[in-house]
Amino acid sequence: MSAPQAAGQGRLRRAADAALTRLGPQAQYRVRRLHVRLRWRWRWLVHRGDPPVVELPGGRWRRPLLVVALGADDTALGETASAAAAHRPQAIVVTDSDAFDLLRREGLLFESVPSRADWEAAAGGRYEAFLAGRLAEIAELYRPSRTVRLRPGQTLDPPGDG
Amino acid sequence: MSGDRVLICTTNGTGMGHLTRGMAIGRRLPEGLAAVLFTLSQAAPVARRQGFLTEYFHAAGTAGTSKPDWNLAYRRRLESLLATYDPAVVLFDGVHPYLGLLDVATSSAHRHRRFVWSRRGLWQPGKGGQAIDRGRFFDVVLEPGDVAEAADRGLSAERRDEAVVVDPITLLDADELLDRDAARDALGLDRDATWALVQLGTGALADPASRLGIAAAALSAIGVRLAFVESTIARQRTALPPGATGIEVYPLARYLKAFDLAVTAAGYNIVHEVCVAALPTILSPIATSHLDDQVARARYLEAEGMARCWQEPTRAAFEAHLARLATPERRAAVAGRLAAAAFPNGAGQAAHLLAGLAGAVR
Repeated sequence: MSAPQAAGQGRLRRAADAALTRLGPQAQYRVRRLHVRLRWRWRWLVHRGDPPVVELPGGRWRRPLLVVALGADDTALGETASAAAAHRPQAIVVTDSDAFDLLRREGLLFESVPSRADWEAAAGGRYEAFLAGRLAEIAELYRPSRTVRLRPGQTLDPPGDG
Repeated sequence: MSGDRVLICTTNGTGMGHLTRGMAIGRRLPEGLAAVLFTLSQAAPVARRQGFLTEYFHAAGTAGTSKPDWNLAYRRRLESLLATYDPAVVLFDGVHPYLGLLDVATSSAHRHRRFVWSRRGLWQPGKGGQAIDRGRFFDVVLEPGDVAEAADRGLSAERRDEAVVVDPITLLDADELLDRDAARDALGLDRDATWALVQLGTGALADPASRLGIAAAALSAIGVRLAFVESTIARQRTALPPGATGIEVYPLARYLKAFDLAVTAAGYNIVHEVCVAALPTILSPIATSHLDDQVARARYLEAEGMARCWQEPTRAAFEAHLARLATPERRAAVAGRLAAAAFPNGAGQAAHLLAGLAGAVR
């Protein structure tokens, strides 16, 4: 989307918000809810029944790269974050690390899953099944063009390195 | 394991207030009922280190995602968590329940669960009309009390009869705080110096016109040593002046008795924590806070002789407040009033309420 287009959309959104504030709280809620649902229907049609829930900036058909980096230490995660930040279309990192800062400083969108140790201690079920379900859910949210699964210690190659 | 959990959902906010309140309640749930935290806060790892099973989801607007998309995604994630953990009760702590959350709360698929909205009071007058009306989508509205409840002029006061009000909620009870010497030893602070805790959140230390710069210069000028709180979610560390120290501990409340005085913002959590610790404090309310009426809270405490309210961002104004806390005798008088007030912790009451709801469901 070009800058003038984005500015135009911003103006439209502000005008719609201003109009909404004239309605009562319940009417505001209904309108916003309807907006979300209609938007979803429209996207469902446009994507022929296979839409991402979250459409990332950069255009309707530019699906992201999903990078699954489980068991990564801080060094590997930091390097992966740097490479992911340079990726176009956008990359989304799935991590079980608590080092959110490494991902935030690159401005990355990321998904966090509890680590095996945390999950098994608290939930007591099969982690593999939980993780498979979560990864499927994440794929449904973003509909990535490609998924890269990194082994512990392995890092994402920078764009252009093959 | 069906129904033996409470899912505590917290918003991101500007600090850790919502997440800390969620943990305060979660750690007091009775045996057999476990908390799972679901937060939008970047401080999710802090909750994990406190032993909570913690799920994280990015806040609206992250990396350019739109709000309608975010609500759809939030709903999907929440549905997935309900399927995974099957909680009997879902508690949302935040000032604005999301559309994605309300969609789930009103879904017939979840009618066997109880949905509770925890909204602290002291909303700024005239604000939050759209948010407060969303209380009708919940089974129970829970209001953590506020020491400055008498100063509440917002919608939260007008609609208080819709809520179950508990005492103010803090993570720790008074008897969980370290005493002065133990806290100083734990933080590595000189036992004999006069220490001020500084937690203002915004402003640059090097900028003499910023609140942080003003407070640091004025305190240093009278020989008070400075301990700066490093945010657990900040990206960069503060460059400290000579003689000052940086503190990065959680929960900070456990160590508050280490200090002789404090200079902090006037948010819900820190104010109630300094009250419980009986710590004389100069409060610097953030007037631009989204909904929280920090100015009303700070003014109320000043009127009660329990804190100072520093509004005008000048050194002269700060020094006038500091003069009222400059001597050990004056600080002792304020600490005495705080200690006499006694602040029961409402976290246990809130946990009891959730346990009752869960028991009714199971």
